[in-house]
Amino acid sequence: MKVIQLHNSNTKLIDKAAKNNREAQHILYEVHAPKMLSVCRYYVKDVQKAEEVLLNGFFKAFTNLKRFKNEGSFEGWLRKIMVREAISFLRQQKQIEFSVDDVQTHHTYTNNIDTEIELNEIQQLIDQLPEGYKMVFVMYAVEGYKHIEIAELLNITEGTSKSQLFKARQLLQEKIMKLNKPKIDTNEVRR
Amino acid sequence: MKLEDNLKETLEGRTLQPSENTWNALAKQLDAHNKKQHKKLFWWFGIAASIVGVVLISTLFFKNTITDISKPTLVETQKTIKDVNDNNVVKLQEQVAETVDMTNKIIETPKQEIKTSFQKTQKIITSENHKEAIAQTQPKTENNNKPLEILNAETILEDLKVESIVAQINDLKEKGTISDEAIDALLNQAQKEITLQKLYNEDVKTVDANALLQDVETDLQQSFRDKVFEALQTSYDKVKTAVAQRNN
Repeated sequence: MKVIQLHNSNTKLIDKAAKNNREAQHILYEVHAPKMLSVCRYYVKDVQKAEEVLLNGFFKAFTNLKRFKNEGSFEGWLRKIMVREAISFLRQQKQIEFSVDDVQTHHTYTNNIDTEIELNEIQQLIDQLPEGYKMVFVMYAVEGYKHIEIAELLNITEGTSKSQLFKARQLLQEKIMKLNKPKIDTNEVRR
Repeated sequence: MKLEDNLKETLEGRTLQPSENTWNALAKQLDAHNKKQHKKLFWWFGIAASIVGVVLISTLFFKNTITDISKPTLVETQKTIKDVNDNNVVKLQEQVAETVDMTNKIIETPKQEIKTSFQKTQKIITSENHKEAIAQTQPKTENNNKPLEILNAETILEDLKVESIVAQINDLKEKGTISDEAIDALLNQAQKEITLQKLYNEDVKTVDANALLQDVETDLQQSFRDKVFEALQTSYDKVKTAVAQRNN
């Protein structure tokens, strides 16, 4: 019962916001902004710039809210807008570069590294990746996009998307190994 | 724990609080956008309203002009028909019977009036809206034979002129002073007299424009001159046959 009530209230709130009710828009912003800023932060290193992306994303969302048909989740719809906005922001900044090295994408890499990395460390690792690698990796591994969708959004081929992901994974693996090594060393010293 | 699962789980659970200014900036942007939208809407409404206004005014204007034309027509029709029936046509009939000259003076005006009034009467009969007018005008349509009488009067006038010219030519013949020039002069004079009588309206003391127009139309018919020549030819043929029979 509570879930239905919540859904109904959320739908009403969205309807009001679509009719340009500033209060409803503010509530929607307050609810979703922290999560959406985190999404923007996946792609944009600088928090202030990520906020800029967030602002533009919310502006587009509110001005096109009539197109949202309450069929999927509002958060998912908003998230897609944020990702697109982040991509266009990085395009404007001319920060996206996709290296076209011939990479064998069928190479296996070990995903079974048993590691417990802190949140800040993860973000730092992602930030250190080149923009092309980072975008494809985040979209694929975190956001759950398929290669064909990534190719369409980033205006690249599906093969490029796959090679970018492979390189990103390799690079991350190396960095995590480096991060884990000192920890292991310190554990051995303690023993 | 797998690397990517760990990454996803950790990142998914993260939230970042935006600064307070972000909402204010967003609210300002939304306000500016709304103003733009209102301006656009205002312009569109303005354009739509002006189009509707123009259409309304034009339809009203055209409707008014149509009614202005139709109303006076009805009033005039009744008057002219009355005038024609009461005064001119009766006068005309009497005067045609009396003298040719007098008839000629009167004929033209009523003739046209009757013609126009006859057309107007037909218009009124066809319109269903004015039943009274139909009631008043319907009996007057019985006067359809009157223009024929006027036309007969015209032909009588021409015939009389023809006869007088033939008589004059015969006189000249008897006197022996006949010549082509004299005949031409007589014919021209008679023709002028007839056309003047046709065009000049004695009642109003004006030249009738419609009569002038009709004069052009009558050119297509047999001219006065042709009639005179025809009459002379027939009289000549009569004399010729008489002489031939006497010789026989």
